[in-house]
Amino acid sequence: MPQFEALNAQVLGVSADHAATLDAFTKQNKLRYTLASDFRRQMLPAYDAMVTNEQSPIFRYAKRAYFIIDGKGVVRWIKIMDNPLDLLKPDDVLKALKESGA
Amino acid sequence: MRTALALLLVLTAALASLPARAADPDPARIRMQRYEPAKPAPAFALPRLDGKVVRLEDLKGKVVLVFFWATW
Repeated sequence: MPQFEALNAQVLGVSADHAATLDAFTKQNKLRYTLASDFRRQMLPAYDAMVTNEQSPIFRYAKRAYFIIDGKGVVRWIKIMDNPLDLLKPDDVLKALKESGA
Repeated sequence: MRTALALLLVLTAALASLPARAADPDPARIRMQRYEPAKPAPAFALPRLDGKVVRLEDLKGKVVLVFFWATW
């Protein structure tokens, strides 16, 4: 996380959980980046990052996905995971951030 | 008791129908990909935990890493 902070990039985590859930999660895990709630599922479909699964009790939830938006508001790098258990390596994300001007 | 047994059966069936976890994918595939042609990011305005709203337009001039996650 200090490496991300050094780049002066804005790190924003978005989930479809309610803000109160995220608040508890942030405190429990002492998170240092910003979390925002898309409880109304407005941003997720716009970024093609929503799963609609009629068999799931949650029904509409987020895919694990990463987007890097440059200072002009243009999407430069993306990765949308098929399997939410997959994670990107922080070095890979840092490299893409630097190439986007961070 | 009957209800409990029925519930147990349903749960067992539900668990059995879950797909086995996919084999670990090729790590080389799990990388950031250049988005081409580059497009403007869809605008968003989402409540932050402190009650303020975070808007993409307010972050202009900064590189933004947005990641989506959930409690899957």
